Amino acid sequence: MNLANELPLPRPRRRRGPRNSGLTAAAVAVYLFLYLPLVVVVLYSFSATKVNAWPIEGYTLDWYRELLQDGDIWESLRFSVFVGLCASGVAVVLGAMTAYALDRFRFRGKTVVRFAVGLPIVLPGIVTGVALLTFFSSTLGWQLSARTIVIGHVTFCITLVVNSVAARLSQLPRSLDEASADLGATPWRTFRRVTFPLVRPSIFAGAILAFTLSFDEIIVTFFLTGREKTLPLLIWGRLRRGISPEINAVATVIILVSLVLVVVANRVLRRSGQSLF
Amino acid sequence: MATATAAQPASRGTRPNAAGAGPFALLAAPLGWMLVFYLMPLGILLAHAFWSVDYLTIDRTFTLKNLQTVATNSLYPTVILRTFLMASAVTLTSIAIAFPLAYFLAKKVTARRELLLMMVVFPLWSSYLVRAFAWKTILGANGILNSFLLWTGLIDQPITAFLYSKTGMYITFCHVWLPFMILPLYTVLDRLPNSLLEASADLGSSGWQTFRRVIWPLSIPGVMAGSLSVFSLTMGDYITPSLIGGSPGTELIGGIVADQFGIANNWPLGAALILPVLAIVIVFLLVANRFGALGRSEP
Amino acid sequence: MNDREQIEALKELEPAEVARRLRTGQISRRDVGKLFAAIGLTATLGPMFARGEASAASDLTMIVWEGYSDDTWAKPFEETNDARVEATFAGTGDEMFAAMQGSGGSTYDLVSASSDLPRRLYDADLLMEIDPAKLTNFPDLYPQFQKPPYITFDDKLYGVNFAWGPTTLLFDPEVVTSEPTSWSAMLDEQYKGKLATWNYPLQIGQYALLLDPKPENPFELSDEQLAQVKDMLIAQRPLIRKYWDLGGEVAELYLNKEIVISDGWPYIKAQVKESGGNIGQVLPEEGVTGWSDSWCISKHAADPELALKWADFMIGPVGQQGIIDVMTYAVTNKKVIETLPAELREELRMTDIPNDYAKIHMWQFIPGYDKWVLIWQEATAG
Repeated sequence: MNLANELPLPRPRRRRGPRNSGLTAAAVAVYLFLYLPLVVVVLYSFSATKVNAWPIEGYTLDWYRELLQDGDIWESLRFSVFVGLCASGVAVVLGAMTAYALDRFRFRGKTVVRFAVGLPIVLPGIVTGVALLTFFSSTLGWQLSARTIVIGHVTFCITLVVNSVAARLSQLPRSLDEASADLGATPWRTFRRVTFPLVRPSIFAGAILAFTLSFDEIIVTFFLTGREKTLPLLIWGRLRRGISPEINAVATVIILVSLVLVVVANRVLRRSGQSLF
Repeated sequence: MATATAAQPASRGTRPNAAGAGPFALLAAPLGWMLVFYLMPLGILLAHAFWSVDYLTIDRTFTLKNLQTVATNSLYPTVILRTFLMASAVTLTSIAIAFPLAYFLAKKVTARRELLLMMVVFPLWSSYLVRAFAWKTILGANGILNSFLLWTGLIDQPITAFLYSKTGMYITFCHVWLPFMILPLYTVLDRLPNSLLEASADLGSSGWQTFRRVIWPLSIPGVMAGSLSVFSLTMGDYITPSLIGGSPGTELIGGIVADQFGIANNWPLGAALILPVLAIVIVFLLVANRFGALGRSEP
Repeated sequence: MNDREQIEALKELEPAEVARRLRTGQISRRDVGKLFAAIGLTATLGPMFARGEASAASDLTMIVWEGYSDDTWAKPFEETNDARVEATFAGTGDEMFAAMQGSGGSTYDLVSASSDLPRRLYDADLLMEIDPAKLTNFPDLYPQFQKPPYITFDDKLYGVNFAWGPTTLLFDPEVVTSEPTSWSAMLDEQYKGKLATWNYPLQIGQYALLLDPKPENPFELSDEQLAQVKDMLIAQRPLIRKYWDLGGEVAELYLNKEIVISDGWPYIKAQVKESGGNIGQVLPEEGVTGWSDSWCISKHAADPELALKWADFMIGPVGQQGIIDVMTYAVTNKKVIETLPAELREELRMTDIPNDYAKIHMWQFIPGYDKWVLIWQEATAG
């Protein structure tokens, strides 16, 4: 670090106030940007007119009433959660294994492995979708179903988990592993007691990213879907008729439910002395 | 260091970094998966680029006709360039927006950090389609943004260029992919030792100097990881062009590819169009890999 | 022992035994990789999905034009037949074809195919032959809808024709105060940035109606005529606010005052009116293109009898009346049409069916369609 050479005399430490408040303001602005469309979604879920025109002309709870009775939406929501859990579950296991192997071992063809794993998220979703569609339908002769969607989702979810875990692993000093090994721990024990606790946040982050991407995915899903539809596909279908505020109502409910889930998950984890991140 | 030979049986007590069967035992399942469910299907699809289609039948005679079409018809290079520029702009903007927030979360917040971090992921939980549609309401000729600008007196005519335009797509992309940039940035910044920052401050460097000399170089892996996601998600998208763009099928290359498969039923041409996109993203992957976005770089 | 057999054999073993064999070198790690892949698919995931697949058996899945699965008629059908109707909306016939072909016809039992589509589905061997004797309402159809050429191949029937109508010129009467009479309104500089047109290569036919001399059939164009239409479309590009994919999009564009002129369907007009918007609709003097929709049944439909019942129901009184009320499209059942008030028959051009119908240039199968797609893309890319 050559800072010391340039500035030989330590100056008094800056007051942190102004800098921090600038940063805080920027952070707040980013949150506003992230949430502005969500506020719009929530507002329009109460709109009395069927079309998202501005300004809102009247307010109603009708869309929530309709939502309660809409079996298709609940069915597709259940299906989306199911697909997301399966896909992120498989992806976390496969992705964490890959990231660990990539980080901890040297072997020939490593770059190739990295690229192979990185490809699904890098290539357009439509490529994955159509490639898998040809493969399943003509090569394997499978019927399209939840199974084909999950497999399609796992392929790109793996990349997210690998990225997340690898970024963390790359910053862990290897000396920790070496120390553990020198103290006689087996690789498994080292992994379980040393490495895993340190990478757990990134595994969580990867799992959450994988679930959210799967939950939200439409391009790959469109090609691989069988007789059951995921929520985004159902919404896409309805957008074609013009959006109904009912869709905004669904989104609002999902936002609320996930808020509650995360708060609860965080509480539970805290009680056991852990943290979600 | 020795490279592994797959034929050796695994021995217990292998030390870390001794590359025996370890990586292959670990990689067997993920690589098997990728091979069967990605690379093989992809290979079959890309082979189509060198085939041709006659109405409903695919003719498997080798031909370069599709590649010629892609190179010579000005439509395709134009749209590919446009998509590249859009993806680059969105990526750079996302870095600029995400960095302050990620830094704020990693270094300035102690209380309720989990909650704030989860708030970054939340927007992803509401359907991407719904959010894109919300932007339509915001950006429309009579939308929230125009209403607001009219109200402030900054404009006296609604700006129609916000919606059904490249501007609209740019804004929407920056929004929908932002969490994919924030999270990897947060991950690297969180690992950045506070002591380094304090040392830098103690040595009298300004905030900007600390950023440029300490924080930024150390967060490159996260920046590259996030950029890779944002860039490639934009390169392949055709939903936002369809909702926010003026010409859904031809704004970006994703739409053109999609139409070859979903409308024209010309898979060979679609596969040929994927090749330049493939080249662009592989270059990006190589760059990102050099900067350690995909894991520790080779010594 | 070949690979597949070996993997099958391994699948039968206990995990501990597999591990033992791996350690002793009886099997290679590659085999285990394959085993994992195989197990991942069948043993682990299989049972989890079994339920979902089984319960879907009594459902009727369909890929349709928006609105064709409206509750007005889907609900009564579901109740009578103890079935569940699951519809996917497609924006274009091409999309329907791609979805049908991609899944080998196993995903959708039914397609609401417009007159351009059944030929392709038939050529791709995706359609089930329909026995008219099984359709109770079949004799009530006008003769011209019973075995029209676009669903009759090799003298066999492959669809049930249930609705038809024109692609019209829509406009906002508050801005466009004098009613447009020509498709040339879609090329009028005056409405720059306030125009929308359907994003579908088949629309080239609609613009071909403006050619001078006008082609006999706007869907059978020479290369020269195609080039002329292309020039027209390139000139139109800067005027267009939105190439629309979804009918609901158009309704919304009008309600939000984003556009003042577009092409569209009577259903779009009905949607705008329902939401309290003001909209005008004309059939331009050059003539119109249009569609004639038939229910086609997939060769691999899960329950062909149920699909057939749907097709029959849709040409019966409930289905036909529903199409008229909700979609404001013309229908095909003579008995139903004859009970309608004269005014409604006039409005939906069903007073003199053979003549009114013949006035519309119905979408048709286009050989060499690739060329149309490319022209459309080049013109709309800007």
